[in-house]
Amino acid sequence: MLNKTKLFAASLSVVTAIALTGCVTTTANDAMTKMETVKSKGILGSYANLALANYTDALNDAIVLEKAIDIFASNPSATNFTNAKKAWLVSRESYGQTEIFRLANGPIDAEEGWVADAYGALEGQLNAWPLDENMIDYTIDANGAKTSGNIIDTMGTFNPGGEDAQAVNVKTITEDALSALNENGGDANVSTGYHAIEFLLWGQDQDYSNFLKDSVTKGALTAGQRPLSDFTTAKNADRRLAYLKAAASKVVNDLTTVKSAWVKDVNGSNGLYQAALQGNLSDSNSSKNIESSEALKQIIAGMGVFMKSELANERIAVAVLTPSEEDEHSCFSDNTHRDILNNYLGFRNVLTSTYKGQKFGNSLLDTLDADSKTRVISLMKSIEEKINSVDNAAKTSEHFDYQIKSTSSQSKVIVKLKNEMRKLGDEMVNVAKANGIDLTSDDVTDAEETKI
Amino acid sequence: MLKKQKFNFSFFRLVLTKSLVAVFATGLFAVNNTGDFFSTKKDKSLMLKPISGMNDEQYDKFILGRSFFVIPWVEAPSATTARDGLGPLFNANTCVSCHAGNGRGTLYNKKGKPSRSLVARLSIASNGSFEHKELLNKNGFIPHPVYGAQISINGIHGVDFEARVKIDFEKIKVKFPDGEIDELLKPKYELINKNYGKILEDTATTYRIAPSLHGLGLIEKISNEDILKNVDENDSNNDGISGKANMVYSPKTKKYELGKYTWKASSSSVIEQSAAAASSDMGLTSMYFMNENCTSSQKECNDAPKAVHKEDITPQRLEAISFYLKNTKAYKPKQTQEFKEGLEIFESIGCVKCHANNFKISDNLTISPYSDFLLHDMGEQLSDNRNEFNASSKEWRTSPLWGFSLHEKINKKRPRLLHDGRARDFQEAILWHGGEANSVKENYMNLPKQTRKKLLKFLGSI
Repeated sequence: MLNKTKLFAASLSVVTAIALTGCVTTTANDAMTKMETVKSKGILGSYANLALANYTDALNDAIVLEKAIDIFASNPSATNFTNAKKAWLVSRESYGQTEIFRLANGPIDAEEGWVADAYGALEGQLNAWPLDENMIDYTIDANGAKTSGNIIDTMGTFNPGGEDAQAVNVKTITEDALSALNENGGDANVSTGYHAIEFLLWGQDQDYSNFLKDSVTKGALTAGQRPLSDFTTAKNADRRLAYLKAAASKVVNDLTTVKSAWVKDVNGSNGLYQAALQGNLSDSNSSKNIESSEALKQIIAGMGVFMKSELANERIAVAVLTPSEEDEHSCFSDNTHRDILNNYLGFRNVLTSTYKGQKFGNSLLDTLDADSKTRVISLMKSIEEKINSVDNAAKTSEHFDYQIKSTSSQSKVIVKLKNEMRKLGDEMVNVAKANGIDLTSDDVTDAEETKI
Repeated sequence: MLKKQKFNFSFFRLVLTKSLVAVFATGLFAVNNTGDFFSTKKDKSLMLKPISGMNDEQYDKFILGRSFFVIPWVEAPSATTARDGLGPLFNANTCVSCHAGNGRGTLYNKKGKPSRSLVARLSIASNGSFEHKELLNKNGFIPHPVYGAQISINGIHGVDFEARVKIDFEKIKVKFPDGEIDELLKPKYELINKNYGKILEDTATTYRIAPSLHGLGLIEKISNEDILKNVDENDSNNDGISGKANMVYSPKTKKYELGKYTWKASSSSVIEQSAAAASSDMGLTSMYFMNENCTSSQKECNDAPKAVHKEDITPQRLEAISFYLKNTKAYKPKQTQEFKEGLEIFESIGCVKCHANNFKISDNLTISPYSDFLLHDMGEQLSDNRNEFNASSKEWRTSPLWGFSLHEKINKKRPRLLHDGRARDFQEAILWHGGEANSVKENYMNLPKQTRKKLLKFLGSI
């Protein structure tokens, strides 16, 4: 077991987040070969090692978040409040990079078969979004009044409403109660995961009656401003703290399960997936082995779908086209610029078989012919410039929710960014081809990704 | 966010090679047409995919439309302002709930209960008043005074749902000339758990399953002229088939237009039907349906909090939804020997007289929706006691048969056919045909069993 406190202190001191400096051009070339290489068996081995390293970080950061929340709950001071928020922001850095492991029929979100049975497709519990925050705690309605009838202010059974909703007893807010409420009565009824915690820490960052007017929180560099008193003197303050604790504990438990799929030694479902992915299972488990071309196909197609349909379309295009603040990914904390950066970085990690400056072995990018490689790298450079521009603007002039407004010059950058990301997603067809796998752009355009 | 991803790549290479052969064989191969709109890949997400060759702006519009089609709407007031205004009375919180994979609805849901994609619609007879005449002119029917035009099976917090549907059947046996016996299910559907009082006996209740959204953009491309030239209301060519156009009021043009969509062809464009469904199925207002779907006697519904915007779906978003629906891929079966044989039978016994398979849309593109988009008398057994504009109770729009073969891929079970989903397979659906279609049905029943089987296989492949 990790020493939570020690980890906590260490982590907060390095809050300074990653920027996309180490450009893909260098990572793809000789500079990388000089770095320490993690021993692995082919591309699938590198992929499994990288997943383990990334999920290990995500889990550790979530443990730090849980610790910060526990400290805040036992002493809800302004400093501890700030530290809890900081820990949430840090936890999103590593988790954001793991999202590239989705959509590949892997442990994070496989919904059928033994992988689903073993790991439970926890993505929806961890990162479900958008969420109807109305269900969790008060919001401000069109007339400026606080809404009621939510999990926090209900002392008995709570019926989330919607379709075939089942009432759940929330007299005490526990992990089990929150799990039972998640996606109960409809997909937007989200009660668990990072974004539920985010809402409780930051509160709304929007004027209900007019998105453009922004009269709830004022200013392009202001996120949600939940008052500390919500956790101290306000009614139900203790219930908010209990909610935070339960939700954070659940994130840690869920990530523990996901990470267990990637550990090296096979023991029960521990390590089972990484072994199956590399075809290393024997005896009674051997039927679980995934044929290597099938494994690569799922991974490559999943990367394409994630880049194109998820990141470019759902997370960026819909937000900038609507435009709607609620359609940005982290709308309460205004951390969407980091989601974009880290989601992209996760893609780059896997494509280049690199994580935190460490080379993990042969990469998919290396399999491309010289021309294709040059083309992909220049596309990535162009994308990275734009991501850095969005990231910089969010830190210095206006958050993502202001950048998506048509009056902002940044909106044009964002529009171009998503177009280039779509192209990059389509390039996965060529990456597949270089690995002897047939895909079409239809295969990297997932039509169903908008299911919540 | 968001989960779900299932890929099925098996047989992909095989299908692709074969499809090229097929395209050449039918002589339709053209630089950028058939292949842009159609795929021969029998894939559960085919109807969700964009047609080929869109530019970035078109693709933007496509995914924006899709986003509002599939992401749940929430009740007002919600900070999710772009997506609030669900209900107060509603059947589902997303469009896609009833059109899984953009295909046809189901009769039963996964739990074996009546599916929400079967809706009950109510109407009453006109009392001749000015108000009723106006409703007939604009709506094509007169909604029930208390329950409105459609039964809502859900309500938002504090608003009771209206009723639920109970599904029951009576079994009927049909004997073929060669001795084969088939069993049909005659619907005995009823409304239960009625929360707003009794429904008077003179109310017409019709049950409708959500139709497939396959090829909607292609249907909209068929010229009115091409549809209207099949009109033969008095059967002047004496083939037993009439064909009547439904001229319906268009809230968009404020004129009467040719109806092409819905079970009785009561809507003239994809955008209007999208708005109509959003209103009656989800309680969403838009430029064509500005009123919440509460009747004057539904107090809680009227008093429920409303969204700040008068239009839950703004005109641009409604337009995007319609654009999305019109630009999804359609399925085109491989023209195998089996297919050709089946088609020959389909043509020879006369199915094709109404289930028309030949509409030229442009120089490069001819489509086979297997529908003439006209109304036909289908006989007493299929009557639902309800008129919609020109469509009488016995008259139904020829149902387009294309894309049905994808249903099983999407839902893992065969489609339930006909407007109320009573038919469990194509043979049952054929046997329910009456009225104008009676002689064609008899032709079918008189076919040798082997030939019947070939035809059914064909129907299951298109």
